[in-house]
Amino acid sequence: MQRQWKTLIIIIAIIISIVFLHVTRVLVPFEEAFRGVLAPLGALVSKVGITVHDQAGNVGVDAQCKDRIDELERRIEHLSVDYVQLNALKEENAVLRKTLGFEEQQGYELVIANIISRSVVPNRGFFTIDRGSKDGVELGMAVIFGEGIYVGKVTRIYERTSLVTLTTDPASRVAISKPGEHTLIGLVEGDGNRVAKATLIPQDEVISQNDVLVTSGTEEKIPPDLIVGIVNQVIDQTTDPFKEAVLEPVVQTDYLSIVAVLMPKVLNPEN
Amino acid sequence: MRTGSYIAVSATAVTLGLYQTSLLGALPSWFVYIQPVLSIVVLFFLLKRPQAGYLLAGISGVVSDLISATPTGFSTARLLLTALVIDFAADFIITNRSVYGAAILIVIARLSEYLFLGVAYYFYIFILERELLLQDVATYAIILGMDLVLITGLFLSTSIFTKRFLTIIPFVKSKYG
Repeated sequence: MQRQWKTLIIIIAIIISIVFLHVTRVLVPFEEAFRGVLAPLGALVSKVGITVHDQAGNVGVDAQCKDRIDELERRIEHLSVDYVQLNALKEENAVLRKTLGFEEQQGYELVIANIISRSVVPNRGFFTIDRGSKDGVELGMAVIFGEGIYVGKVTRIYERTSLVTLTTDPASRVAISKPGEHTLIGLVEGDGNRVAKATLIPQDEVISQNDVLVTSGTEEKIPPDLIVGIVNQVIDQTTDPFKEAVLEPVVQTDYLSIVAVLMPKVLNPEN
Repeated sequence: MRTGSYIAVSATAVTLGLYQTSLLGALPSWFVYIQPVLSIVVLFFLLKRPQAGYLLAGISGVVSDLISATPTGFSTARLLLTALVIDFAADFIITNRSVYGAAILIVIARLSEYLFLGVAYYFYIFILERELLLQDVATYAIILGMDLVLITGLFLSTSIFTKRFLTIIPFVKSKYG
């Protein structure tokens, strides 16, 4: 009994010390050093998990069907990006841009990041990446996959890692518009379970199934025309002032291992 | 404990911490019910290796706190206190080393951990004004079920391959033959 009471005192002392040193930021350099060591291991382990997940998903599925599904999903990704870029170019040619010189200087650059851990709580969508404030990442920056598919935004920063909240997480909010229009038409909120919902869409806004919705560019650090999702279903009650749309993400975030953080060039410490 | 044992336990703890934070979220969803940290801590206490149990609990908690994607509610403290509860229970409640004893210990461990998590949840909400994500009671019940399967497997494997839980009856010739 004496040993256990001694151990209790030691544990309480350890806990109080950790809390005190963490709050006074004495432990921060050590925490960041350990994160720096654990992050590559986490990225490797996460990739192993995705491989296992992918193989487990293939069990019982005809190989040809699986290949066809993969091919079609890749085509949807590329076609969505091409569609958005085409509309954006059309808009740009049609309107005189007073800010063209400023926009050309502005630009964004990509910071490639590995996913090192993910949320295990059902109906919540987070993951941690191995880039942090040391790499120039800031709160609110957009995280994308591929050529411009919006995945989420940075919601917490450490020196070497950051937490990304996915579009499908109930706490996520992102302003949206139609491709190339850059006018705010609604808000995408996560609905849990890998689905998001576009809300506050005015009744006079024409939205139909298979429409692509993109970021509106009205939020700081999130550029316009990043693909948020494809409309799966429009929920329209004529008595409501707004309508809603169920969005299907273009990529399944469960299988992502590498993403990119969009950093405005003007915010790059090197510039 | 020898230095080699400390290194082996520490490596195991880091591996388990990485499993909980990095691997679990990437695997198919039913893997979320398999959380072996407490089962292995219970096994160490059954083997009368309390230092190994505390070391494993502490290091895997630190790994979780550092790189987990979801708020962990100070895993290090929670796992260390749970290990302490297991220590008390192993010495004063479940004094025999049997499969049933191991099963009861893991139930005590998991329920204690859930209790500490509940305390952390309210602390986060009312003191820190932040969100702490909890899994629902049904999920925890299934995790407990998997814990029972895991500890049974670990206990039986340890008994068969190491004979550490064998009760030895000495063969002594009496004066009557």
